[in-house]
Amino acid sequence: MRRTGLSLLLTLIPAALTAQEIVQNATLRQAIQAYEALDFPRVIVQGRAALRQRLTASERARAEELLGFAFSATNQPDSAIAAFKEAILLDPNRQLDPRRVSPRITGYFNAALGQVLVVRQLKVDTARFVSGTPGSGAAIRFTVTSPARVRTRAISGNNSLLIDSSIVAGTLNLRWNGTLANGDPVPAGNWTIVVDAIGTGQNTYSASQEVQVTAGAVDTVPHLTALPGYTELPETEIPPQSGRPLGIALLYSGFAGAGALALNNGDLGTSTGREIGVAAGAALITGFVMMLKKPAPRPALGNIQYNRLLREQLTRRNNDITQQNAQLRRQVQLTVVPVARGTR
Amino acid sequence: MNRVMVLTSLLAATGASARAQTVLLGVHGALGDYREVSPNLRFRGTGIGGSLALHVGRFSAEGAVTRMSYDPRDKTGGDSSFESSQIDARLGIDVASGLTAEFGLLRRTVDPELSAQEMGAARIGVRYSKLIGPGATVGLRGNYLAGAKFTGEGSAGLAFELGLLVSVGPQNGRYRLTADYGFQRIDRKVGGAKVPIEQSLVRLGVAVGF
Repeated sequence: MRRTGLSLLLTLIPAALTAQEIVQNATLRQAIQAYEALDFPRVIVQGRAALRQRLTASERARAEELLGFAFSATNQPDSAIAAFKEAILLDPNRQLDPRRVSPRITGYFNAALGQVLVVRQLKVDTARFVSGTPGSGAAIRFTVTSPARVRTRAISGNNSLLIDSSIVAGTLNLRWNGTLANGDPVPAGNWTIVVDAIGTGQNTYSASQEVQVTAGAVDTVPHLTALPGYTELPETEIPPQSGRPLGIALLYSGFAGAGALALNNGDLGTSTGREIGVAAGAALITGFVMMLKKPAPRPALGNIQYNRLLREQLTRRNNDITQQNAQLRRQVQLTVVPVARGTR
Repeated sequence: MNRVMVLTSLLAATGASARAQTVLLGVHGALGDYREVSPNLRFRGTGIGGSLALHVGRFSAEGAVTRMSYDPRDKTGGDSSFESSQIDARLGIDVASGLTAEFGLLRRTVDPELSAQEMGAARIGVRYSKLIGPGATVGLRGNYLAGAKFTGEGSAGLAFELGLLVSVGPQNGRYRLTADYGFQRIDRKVGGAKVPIEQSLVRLGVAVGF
């Protein structure tokens, strides 16, 4: 039964081993082979023997992890946790895949994490942003395994900028806005994001991530030629055909004829009316022709007013854009790209 | 005729220096009815003439010369035919949409001399034009003829001019057909005696714009 349980345990952790890099040390290789053969006592012996030899940091971390697995499999939790602690200190970013590793081993591993102070998974996202713009900046993420005062700084040459200082345990998300203390954009170049953690027992841990900062001009906003969703309306409209032209001609001719009749001097007799007749005839013919003709376009006052307001709004918007662009031209767009990663 | 040339030159000079202007040069035929003193002294005539009009913004200037040949309507009365030359000059300023205030001069001469009254007067009044269709306007004119002078002396305390204007043509103003009717009533008095004058004149013409 015990053998069956161990087999089940092992089936849950193959990726933890298969994902490792090529091992140079022969003793460590023998320990791995023993683990694959489920010979846990020999894993412990070979693992301890390998640790007494000259190993790379990665090999050493792997040997400790192997011991942690073997102690877990043989029900030695204290030893397992101790081995995992060493593995974590050697490689703080080491993780177990909870889908492939048994909950018991994961539990021991998490217990080991809680007993050491390390800054894990420090990551700075690639970002492009306008320096000093509220809410913008490069995202910084990391996890502190134990409660500690954590100071996060950006360092380049003589510049050391405090990004955040807080007491935290767990994952912390920060944003670096890329400004100096006086509000100016940071100079372009290589910067190092340094996270210093000071634990309760005065134990400390530091992690860093180097980033490259480049500076560029901020894109300006193009001026508008039209307001989106709004189009100008025709400023003239053709009125419906009507008898109005003839009516007006008739009215005017009537005024002229009546006026001439009224002003006629009785002492001189009456006029034949030939001249007013000719003029009135010309007016009436003109009115009649115009009545049959397509009316002339007339100003559409509502549309003119609408277009005027639209143009005023467009002008106002473009003035705003001009001011906005003037401000943008004074700003600097920073691009932050992580270039290397390391811990110390 | 010298005055006509001076007026024409003045209008042309003003037009040459102005911007956003319209110049209309026209010729016309005319029908007229002239009455003087009593119902027995009545003449009817025909004639021809020319006109020049200039519009610059709110301002306008018009000049027209009409040469008429009048014949007595009553051939048995012993009255003789005569010819008249009438010069009309007007300066206008648009004061409202379609409404124009006008100032100008009227001068009418006759040949042979003393066959009818020669006269001159200043004119002041308004013109109202209404667009009734594409390129077509009709209008009314009312002028007071002030300070009328006559060769036979006398004065006219009351002198009116009433007009009906028609103008039609393409909207680009390239050419226009015009009709211009004017009725004048001049209550002339000489030494307290009434010697009125009336004239009806209609001019039908064509004008070219450029």
